[in-house]
Amino acid sequence: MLSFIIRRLFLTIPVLLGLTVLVFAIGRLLPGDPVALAAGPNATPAEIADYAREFGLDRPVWEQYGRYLAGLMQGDFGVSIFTRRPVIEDLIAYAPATLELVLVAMAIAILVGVPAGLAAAVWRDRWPDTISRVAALSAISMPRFFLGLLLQLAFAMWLGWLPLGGRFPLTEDPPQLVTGFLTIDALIAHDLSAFWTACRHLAMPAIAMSLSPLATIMRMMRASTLEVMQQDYVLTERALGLPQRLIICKYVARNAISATLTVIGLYFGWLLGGTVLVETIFDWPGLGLYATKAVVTQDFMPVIGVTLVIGTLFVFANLIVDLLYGVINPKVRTE
Amino acid sequence: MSLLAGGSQAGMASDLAWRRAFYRFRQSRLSVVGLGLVVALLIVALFGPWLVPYPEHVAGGVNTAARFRPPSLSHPFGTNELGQDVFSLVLAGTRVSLLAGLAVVIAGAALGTVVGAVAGYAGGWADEILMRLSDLKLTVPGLIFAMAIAAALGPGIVNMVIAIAAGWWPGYARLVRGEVIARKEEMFVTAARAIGASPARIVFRHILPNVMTPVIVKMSLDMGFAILTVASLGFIGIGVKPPTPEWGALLSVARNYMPDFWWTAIFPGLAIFVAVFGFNLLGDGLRDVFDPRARR
Amino acid sequence: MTEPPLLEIRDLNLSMTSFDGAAHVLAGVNLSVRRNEIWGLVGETGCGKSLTGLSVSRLVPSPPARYLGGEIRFDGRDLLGLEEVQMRSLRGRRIGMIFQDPTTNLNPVFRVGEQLVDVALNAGLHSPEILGVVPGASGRERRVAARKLAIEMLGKVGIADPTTRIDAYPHEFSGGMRQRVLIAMALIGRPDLLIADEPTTALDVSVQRQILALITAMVQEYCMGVILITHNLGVVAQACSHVAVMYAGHVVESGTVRAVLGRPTHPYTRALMAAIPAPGVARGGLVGLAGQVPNLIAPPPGCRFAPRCPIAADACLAGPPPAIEMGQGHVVACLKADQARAA
Repeated sequence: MLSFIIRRLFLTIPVLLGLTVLVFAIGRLLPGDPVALAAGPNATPAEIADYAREFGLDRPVWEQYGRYLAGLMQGDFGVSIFTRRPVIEDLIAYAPATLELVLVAMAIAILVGVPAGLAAAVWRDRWPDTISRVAALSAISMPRFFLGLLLQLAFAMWLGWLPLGGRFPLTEDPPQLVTGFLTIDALIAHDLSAFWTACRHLAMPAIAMSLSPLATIMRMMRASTLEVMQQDYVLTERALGLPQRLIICKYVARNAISATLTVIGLYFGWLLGGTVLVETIFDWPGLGLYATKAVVTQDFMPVIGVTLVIGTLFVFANLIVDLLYGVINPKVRTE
Repeated sequence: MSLLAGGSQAGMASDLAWRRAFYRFRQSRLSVVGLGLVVALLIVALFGPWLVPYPEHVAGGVNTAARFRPPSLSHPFGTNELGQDVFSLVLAGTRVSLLAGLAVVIAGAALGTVVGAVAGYAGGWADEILMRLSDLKLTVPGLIFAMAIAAALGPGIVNMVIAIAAGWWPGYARLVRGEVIARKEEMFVTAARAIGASPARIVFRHILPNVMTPVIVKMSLDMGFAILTVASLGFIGIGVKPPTPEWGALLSVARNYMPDFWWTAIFPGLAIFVAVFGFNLLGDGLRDVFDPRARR
Repeated sequence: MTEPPLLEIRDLNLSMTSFDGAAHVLAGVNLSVRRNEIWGLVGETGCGKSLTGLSVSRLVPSPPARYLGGEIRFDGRDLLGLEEVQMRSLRGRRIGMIFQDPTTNLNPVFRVGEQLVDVALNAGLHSPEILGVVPGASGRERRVAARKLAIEMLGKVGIADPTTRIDAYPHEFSGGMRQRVLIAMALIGRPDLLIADEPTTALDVSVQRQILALITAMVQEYCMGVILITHNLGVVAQACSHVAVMYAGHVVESGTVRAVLGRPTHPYTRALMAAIPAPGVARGGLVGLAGQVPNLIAPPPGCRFAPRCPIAADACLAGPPPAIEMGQGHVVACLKADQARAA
């Protein structure tokens, strides 16, 4: 088991390296003057030439990459024109907000989607089946930013039940910064009202983000449950008298989940990508909002930095899914 | 020649398969609804410029006297902050979104097919390299990747299409590669090789036509998400420049006027939903027809 | 011999609906199993032997299946009339089952012990003496007892080092070992009746012998009755005490192995025996049986074997053949039993 974990960890290293190459390529090799992009839209030709020399942009490509990689290792992700800070500082400041949102959304999608899919398979009937299929398709087709807007309209503007946006009201003191996750920090500080406030702010963005993966997870779970229920070992379990509830909730569930697990990994990527949309609607101070503002102001370094961070997060999320898969399906460990 | 005889028999068999496929398609009511929606969207996209009640607004004209009029008979979707008829804008936006989505899917499919065909047929380390390349792309979530490339390329709708398509091709590459590998060893390929056909000819004349069906199914499935991605990037502010009416961009502007002038946002948003939903329904139905085993 | 039979299937009739119509798959099956008897249920593919076995446990899915008549008496009760809840209390505990393919019949993502313990616990719910705990024992105590029992069973079926192997996964066992595990699972509840559906078909010949020997040993230890479903007469000869030959949903001949295989009477049985290749048979010398199995949606009237039977007469087509007793429990369903025997 341990060797499996180590092997998988090792495999992520070339992937991460590849990611840096990819990001580098986007920055340097695409049409559009890379120097001008890096120097900013208002640089004069003289400044651009200086910039080129200073950052070694007149050197061969692989040398540039080497310098770039070295810079990354030291935490040099460039400077943001908009915030006027090193990008790395911005990334560290904004990452926890995004992570918190994405993790909560993923939790909602799994905790609701998996049992719902299991139930849908067990109580498979005629017209509820068609309805759930339409519902799932609607959920996937709904643009997250529009859904967020609708939620805002309904729950914040018309009903006034939930806050409009942001992570925490400006008028209150947020809990002491420990992890960067407001919910966890509030719990650490034993501040239940802060915890509740943080949750209320999380509610709509997390739901807006989770609806699409929730629907897909539910459909996948339903399909794989149906498939598992046809297996021979389920017949044996029934033939030996095991009660239906035990068979479904323990034996069938574990087999069905392993197929759904791969989708969960992919959906983490979808969620990470969706942060740019949802964070914009809800003014959520995370990587997505940061990147969006950067794109609009043609501030290139933050966009690249966010791409790197999100790519890395995605690689690690897939790693975790792989490891979980190994836990659930023991055959994989020996490969 | 037995090769010809086999070919015509195969032709008849595939003809029967097509008829059976259409029969199954008609059976599923959902797919027919999807088809209806898509056809309606295509009509609006094609004939949009002649259908809009206020073409001058679509071209960028404003009417500050009629700002923020709620939905009425003369303005079914109301007017926006510039006094423009939202209905016209949404209708015109159909053409933009559908064309952009189609461009993305075609570009992605074309690039992916070529890559996949080369990788599958050549094998060896060309295969390895190309597949590693596609895996690499997959490390970054699609929207972020498109954003990064669009940021590098600069504004404009062509750049946006390139940016999205650059992230779209791995799926097709994988699909085509699998199919090519599966068919590489089939008899007609061996026969063609025996006659002395060059590899390129073999791939293009003999293998690809058979691979087209799953590729087309995938393209129809992807269309919905392509439109969604285009709208998402438009929402962020990448791609279209005003006054081109793009649904995502319209929504982004309208956001500032919530909740009082809700119609400026709701209708463009609904348009996105309906378009994506229609294509997804259709794609789902097509997939059921061509691959009933994948029934979900 | 005066003890009532453990299982008595009387005139079992089963119909299965499919796209093309309703197939009359079981047409009056009669079978009687006592303790310490190993009944081979033999016949070609599609004759209904598996369905008969599944019917005893009421595992045939009921929408496509419909029981048209007959009864399955187990322990005095007609199983066909029981509620599902009652059936569940019998399965695993009074009636055990094993199936053909040991690879697909063990849940691959669970340790072997987990599955064994659950079956034992479930059986122990209704018969706590299996676990050896007092009725008021806690869940934890029952688990511990069940695990001990599971290790014991694994040892009994011939798995070496059961204390370690109980925590292994199914893919860590060989095919023969997996079948042993399945046998352990089927017997851990101390059932009175074991139904084995082609338990050795997926195994090598050498492993086959071991498994059959194991089953025989278990039968003796637990005084069980067994229905061993197979299409292989060799297995019947090796392991069974009694045999019932089935054709197209009907039992055509039944009795002790010595009687039936020694003096096969029904034309079908005789054809089966004749088809077994004997050593020294010349090439092209295999004797087959002409014709095909009947279409069960529109079966022939009367005796279902009549269309292929070498000695069929008009009377055979008139109605179902009577069950003729040939002495000492040897029953033949043929109008012309005497004539067939003489031939």
